[in-house]
Amino acid sequence: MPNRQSSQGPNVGLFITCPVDLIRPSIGFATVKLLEQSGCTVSVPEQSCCGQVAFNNGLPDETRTLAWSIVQSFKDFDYVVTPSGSCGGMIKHHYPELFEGDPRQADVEAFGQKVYELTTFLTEVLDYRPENPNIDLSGQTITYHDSCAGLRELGIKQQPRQLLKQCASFDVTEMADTDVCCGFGGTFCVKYSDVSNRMVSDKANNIRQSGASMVLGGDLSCLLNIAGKLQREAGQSAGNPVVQVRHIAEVLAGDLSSPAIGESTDEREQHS
Amino acid sequence: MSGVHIHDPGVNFIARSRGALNDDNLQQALEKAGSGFVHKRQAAIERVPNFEAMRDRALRARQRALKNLDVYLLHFEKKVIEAGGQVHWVETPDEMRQTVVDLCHQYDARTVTKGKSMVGEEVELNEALEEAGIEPQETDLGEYVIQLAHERPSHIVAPALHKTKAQVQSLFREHHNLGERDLDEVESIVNEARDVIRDRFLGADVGITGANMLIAETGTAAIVTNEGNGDLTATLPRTHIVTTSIDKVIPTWKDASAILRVLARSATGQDITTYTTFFTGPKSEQDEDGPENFHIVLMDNRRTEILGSEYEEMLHCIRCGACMNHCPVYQSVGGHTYNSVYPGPMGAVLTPLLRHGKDDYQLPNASTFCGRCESVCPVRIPLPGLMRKLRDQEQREATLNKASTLAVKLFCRLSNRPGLYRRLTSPAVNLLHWLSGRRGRFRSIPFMSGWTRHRDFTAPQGASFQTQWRSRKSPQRGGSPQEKRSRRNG
Amino acid sequence: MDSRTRILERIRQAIGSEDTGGDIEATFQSLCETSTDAPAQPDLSPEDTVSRFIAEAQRNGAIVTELEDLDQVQPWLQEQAKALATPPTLSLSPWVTALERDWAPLQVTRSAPQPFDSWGLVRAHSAMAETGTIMSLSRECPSGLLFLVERLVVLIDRQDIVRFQEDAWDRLLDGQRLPRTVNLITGPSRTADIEQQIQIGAHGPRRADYLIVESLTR
Repeated sequence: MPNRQSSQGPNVGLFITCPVDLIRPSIGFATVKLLEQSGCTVSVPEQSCCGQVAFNNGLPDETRTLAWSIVQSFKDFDYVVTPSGSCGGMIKHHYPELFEGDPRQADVEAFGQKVYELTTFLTEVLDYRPENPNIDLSGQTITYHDSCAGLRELGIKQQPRQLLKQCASFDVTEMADTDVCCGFGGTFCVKYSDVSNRMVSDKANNIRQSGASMVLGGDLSCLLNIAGKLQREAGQSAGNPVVQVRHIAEVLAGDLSSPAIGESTDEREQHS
Repeated sequence: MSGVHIHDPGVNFIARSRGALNDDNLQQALEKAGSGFVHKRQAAIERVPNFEAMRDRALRARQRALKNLDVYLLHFEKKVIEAGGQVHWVETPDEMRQTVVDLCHQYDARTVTKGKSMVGEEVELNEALEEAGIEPQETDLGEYVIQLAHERPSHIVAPALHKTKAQVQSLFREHHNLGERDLDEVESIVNEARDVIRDRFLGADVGITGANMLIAETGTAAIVTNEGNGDLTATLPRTHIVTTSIDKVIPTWKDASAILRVLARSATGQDITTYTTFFTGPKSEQDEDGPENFHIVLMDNRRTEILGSEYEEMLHCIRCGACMNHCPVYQSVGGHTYNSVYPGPMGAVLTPLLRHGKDDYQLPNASTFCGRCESVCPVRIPLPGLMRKLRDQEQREATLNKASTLAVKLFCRLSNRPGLYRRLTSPAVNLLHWLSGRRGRFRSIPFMSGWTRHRDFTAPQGASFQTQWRSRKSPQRGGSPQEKRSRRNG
Repeated sequence: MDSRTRILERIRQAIGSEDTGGDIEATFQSLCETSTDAPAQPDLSPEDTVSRFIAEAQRNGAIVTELEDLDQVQPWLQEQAKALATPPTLSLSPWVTALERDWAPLQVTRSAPQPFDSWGLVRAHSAMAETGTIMSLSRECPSGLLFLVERLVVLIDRQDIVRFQEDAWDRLLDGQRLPRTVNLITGPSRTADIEQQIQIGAHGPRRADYLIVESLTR
């Protein structure tokens, strides 16, 4: 249960998402930092999966159970923010669909209204423009991968670019086919491993061909897929440059000291 | 011509996709086609200010048609008969084949020219005609190429999309008497086909085309083409047979315009195809030319099962192919991997519904749900949503749980108890972190070979976020450097 | 029960309707009257009709020429034929034949057009500005002629150019029996079936000329 404080800013429940929770907590702390800098009071109720894995694997009943418990845990916050377009899209768009005809449908729909993906929340609700940005990356060649659910379910395209311009002083260098799927697709990437590999190879090529030294995105699962491919291919051919992969929250929060996604400590030390 | 080779019969989508990924010719052909369609469509929709309104209008035409489908079909039939044509209602592919063969026999047909018809492909009409001693001659260049190759179409708009120019050249060399001529340029290939096929138009007894739309208002069948082959097929022989299905009907000519405005823009990026032709009945005494006999063969083949079901929106499909042109899975493996005349996202939904094949549930599973198909569908079919419903149906019908399903169910049960979830997952990821040492990633994880065969796996940073957050909130438990870095406000 | 009955029964079951056994014409008409749905057309103001027609036709590969009157058609054809080694044969639509004009040096033929050096001269029933499309009706012109000639020359009366398809349908659905074939043609025949490379001149004409004439009525 959120602990209401006498703060001016909104009470925000952070929905951390499984991959960030388990693999890269630094994205979570970066998210908290950005929200707190904007005056939000952040709480993290005990939580697990949004249910997307079950939802996409033909298990709607299991998904509904998970979904309802999330609605219950987060319902008292002013906003629920998540550093993922994929989990955000799941809660905002697919929860109401799952509860169609269910007496809880109205509650679920109302809940969806206050759920935001991080970059959308920062731009459209908070208008986050810190006087002293956490970082300045002007002059760097950095590209951005538009994750599918964020792009097509939540319309996330300009928000991250605007934030990076405002808060990190650079324009995104666009790669080819930035709106094409990286091949992750949840269980798809292991069930249809070879097709997925082809898709992520194309993505890695487009990233390298953009000339970027860093690729950012708003969904850790896609970034794990992309980082894994870039690193495998960098290891296979000396001609393949090493491209850092990071979540946009880490960059906006100025947290570039920890190794990039999948980067070894030694590689980080070499680069910094 | 003898039987058609089905690409890798008997193996599943995964095995076929491996074959496709290793097929250099296919990959070369896909690469050449790939972005062309995407860019042309984008340019076409940007040339009109209200493409979204056009999509909505086209969708409403399709919705209206289905809402009173019985009325529109009956009115269509009445008007065809009034114009001097005949309508044959058939339930199954078998009945469609038999009806068309019987009609050909009735007119003593020995050769038949064909325009592109996906319904004809759906029922494997060519094989039936051959068995009945009637020679079917494909006239669409792409269809002609794959007829020479004994293959099936790999794309609903561009049937020979999987073939390279070099492959077409060698097919022509094998089947045509080329003598000294070479066919180095696309132009010379097209001219060669034009010459060979032209004689067939003039000599055919029956012409068979599909229909892009059936207009209920006047009993009219409409086709859209670019080559002109469909028109010559429909016009020159004494008999014109239209092989089509009940879902193609729309109420009025105004609705036809609504469909036409989105069809070519979505398919090939043209505002309209070179030829759009409307056929109403056979030639009357007022007409300068046309066939003496006009037959519409109207097939169901399970479309009435889809109607009124949770999959009804699939019947809105106008067969433009935009979904496959924008699908990263289709673009990687090509149409034959779907082992159906309807490939790509629309095929991944339609094939299991029309065919009920044993392995057809693989098709809606072979998607990342990236949603690009839905975003370009001119009639806004929620293709990922329909694929998801098919996955639900697969699970409902499953008598045994697959290992992957059991794993997901187990994960759900764990996720239902967030406290337990945290206490179990956090030590596990911490262990993985410890195992990775300073490397930051794994090159191989035994139980995750599907991932690590092709990519490294990022090592977890340490304890889970929730665990770190909780210790951060209770300072007596100390904290990792990460927490200290992130700690704010005491 | 036959297939037709079974299919209709399944449809009615699926959409929840019943066979009223009533007059299908009346039922259809009442459905059409209750659902008036405005078309979503491209933006195009009436005064831009002809210029848009020309621009769209050209973008779709047609060659557009504007002429004052019918008298200029023969000299135009003669000029076009000059460059050719063999003078083309000319196939005429009935309306053009009825003009009883002399088209020499072009030779008029009444037999089926040959694959090469065959031109067709026809008059469009209507033309649509939104896509640069011409409409021909099989009661005015044999549909086969439009496809068998190597080069199709279409005469268009300026007054016959309408803005949208719906305007052309209004002229078409005038209560008369519909012709067997209504052809909409936009530019020359083409294919992209070989490696998606656009090649002009598949089975139909390799060249489409649109001659816009101020008035085609004598």
